[in-house]
Amino acid sequence: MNSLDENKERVINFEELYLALDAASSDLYSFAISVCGGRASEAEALLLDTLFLCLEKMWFVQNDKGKLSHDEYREEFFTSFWLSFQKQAKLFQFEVNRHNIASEHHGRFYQLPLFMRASIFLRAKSKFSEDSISRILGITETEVSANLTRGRDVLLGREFKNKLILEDSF
Amino acid sequence: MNISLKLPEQDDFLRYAEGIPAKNPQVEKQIQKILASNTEARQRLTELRKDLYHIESQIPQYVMPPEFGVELTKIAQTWLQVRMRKETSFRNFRWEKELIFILSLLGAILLVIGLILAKK
Repeated sequence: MNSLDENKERVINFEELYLALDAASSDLYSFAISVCGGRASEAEALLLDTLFLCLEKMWFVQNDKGKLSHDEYREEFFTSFWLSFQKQAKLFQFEVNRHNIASEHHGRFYQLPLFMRASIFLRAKSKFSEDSISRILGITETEVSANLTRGRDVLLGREFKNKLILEDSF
Repeated sequence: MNISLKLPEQDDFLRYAEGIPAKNPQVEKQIQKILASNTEARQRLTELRKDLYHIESQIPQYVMPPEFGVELTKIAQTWLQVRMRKETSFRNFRWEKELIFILSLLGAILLVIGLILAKK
């Protein structure tokens, strides 16, 4: 590959990176507010911190040899946010589970425990797979599945039946 | 010849209903075939999607305020500009391979000329 092609590839990567960043920011915004119990001021501060962290990580750790795909970058972004959030929550010990602003409209959702709420959000809104959710939240896939099952039941108000295949169908 | 045919599992169907891409594209094709040939499976998929919609509608979706979006974009653009400048700066211009090739070619030519001149 000559240097012209390399430069072209770099430009495309930058564009992809920018688009990924843009998409992830708006996607992450809703997640940030949801895990912060509906409080935008705390979520926005954390989101800005995360953005700086992610950019610096890309700069210093990945450097110019590192390549992250759109999905990987998105996952990295969510993981960084979750880590900052957990650190902040420990530092300031703010109550995030049952205190919220938007409880009237999304009461059931905000009544869910933090990890269950985060798992449900990442699955239903951000469309992450179980293994990605387990990497983002730092829990096992079994815990993620349990959180999703329980969370779906609570939000639905009855047992969520995933019985699409019938044995007599085959 | 060993042909292993694995039917999609309940979780594969759920992933399909949720719109999450399957790890194996073959599974998605199998699901589509089952749905195409089975009316009951299609009805159940509709019920499943209804439940999923009901669940999703209870999860809040917040829209980023424009001023915050602008702030984020500014940071990202500044970072990208700085990085682009770094990439294209003369100090980081990478042409080691070409330079080594040119220098070795030059060295070889000089050596040949030197040998010719020495023989004369």
